[in-house]
Amino acid sequence: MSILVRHFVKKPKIYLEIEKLDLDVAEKNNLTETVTLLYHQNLLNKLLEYLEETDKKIFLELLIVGGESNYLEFLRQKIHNLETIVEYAVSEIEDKLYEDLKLVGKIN
Amino acid sequence: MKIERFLGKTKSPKFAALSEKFEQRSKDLIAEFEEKHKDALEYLEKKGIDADKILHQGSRKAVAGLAAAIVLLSSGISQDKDLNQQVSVDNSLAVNQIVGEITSKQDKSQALLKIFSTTLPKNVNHLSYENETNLSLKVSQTLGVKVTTELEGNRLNTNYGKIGLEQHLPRYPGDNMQEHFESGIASSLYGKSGLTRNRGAFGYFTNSKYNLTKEAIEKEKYYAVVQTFDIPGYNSKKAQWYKHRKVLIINTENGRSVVGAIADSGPAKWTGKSFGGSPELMDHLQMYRGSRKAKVLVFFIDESNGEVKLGPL
Repeated sequence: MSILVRHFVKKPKIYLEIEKLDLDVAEKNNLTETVTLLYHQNLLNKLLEYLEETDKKIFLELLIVGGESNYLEFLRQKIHNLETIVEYAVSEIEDKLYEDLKLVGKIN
Repeated sequence: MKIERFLGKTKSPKFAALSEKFEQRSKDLIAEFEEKHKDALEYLEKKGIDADKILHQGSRKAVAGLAAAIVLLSSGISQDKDLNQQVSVDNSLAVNQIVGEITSKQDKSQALLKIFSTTLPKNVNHLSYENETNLSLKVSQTLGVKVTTELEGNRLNTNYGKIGLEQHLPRYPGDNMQEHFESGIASSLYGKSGLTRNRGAFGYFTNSKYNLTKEAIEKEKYYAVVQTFDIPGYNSKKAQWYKHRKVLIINTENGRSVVGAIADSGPAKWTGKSFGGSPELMDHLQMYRGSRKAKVLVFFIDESNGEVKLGPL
């Protein structure tokens, strides 16, 4: 799992919704993996949006080689409202995914 | 067809529909990433990282065709040893420097909390003169910014107490919520706090939107409120001194600190609060959401040794 998702989201709410769907295990696993990716992508987009250009590069490098605690602490230092941004990013993607699930829920 | 291949069997209509929707979501996010963070991608490419490869490598393990992209910047790249080594060599110095800075900042917060644990009174709002002086000195030494409770003969009515969340202030005549924020995210995050109907006690930050400077934006973004009406001898002459005066505000429960500019007078005494802060300022103190029970310390910033930037310290 993406370390961003693991750290900031723990267990995405959408997993529970996927679990409720009438699908086989492989399909559920596949959707769960995809959903994790979407959480991650949205988190990354929003976090980078709040970093200065130089800090974006440092953050991406830290993400690759800096170790988990260091890049997280770097984010905390650079994004003063990190928790709020994360909450926003998570809620934004969840709203969209709930919307998708709601629409698809009508399909038999 | 891609999904069928992945699963090795016929997909259910519901799964197919969801996969299709999620795939589109992912494509949109990647497009957003490429559009907004083009420079960062180019930088990674210059470092020898094939950004395009990174952006599409994830499709192997997820739904085929789903450009899993960005996840590899965290989980995927760690599997690429050559890439790791290359980046590691290039950046070990920069990373070490950053890690050093981070450790230093963490140490400062911890040091502040340690100071507060032995110097702050638990059940009273008022600090003794001795306490104030002692704290000013220790905070200055710890943060490397000269702070004081008395500057050029001026003192606040208190330096220790509760702080309330304020609304945004209009920066110029006609400022409104549609024009107030620099980004859509900022608007979503802080728009709900609203904008006061009237300007702050010290007037607008500038006379028109055409004269709005970065400095004025920052002043409103990190504005602080103090009870000027409760300061002995406060008058219009004093008001000029207090206008946009920089103060350091520290959350005494987590050690987070932010430099603000005084831009309004309040809160009313009956509220039990002694200070106020803009939504952005409060968010940095981790008091924008949830509990605001923690007390804050407020000091004047003495800029005689150089300018101190507004915002998180």
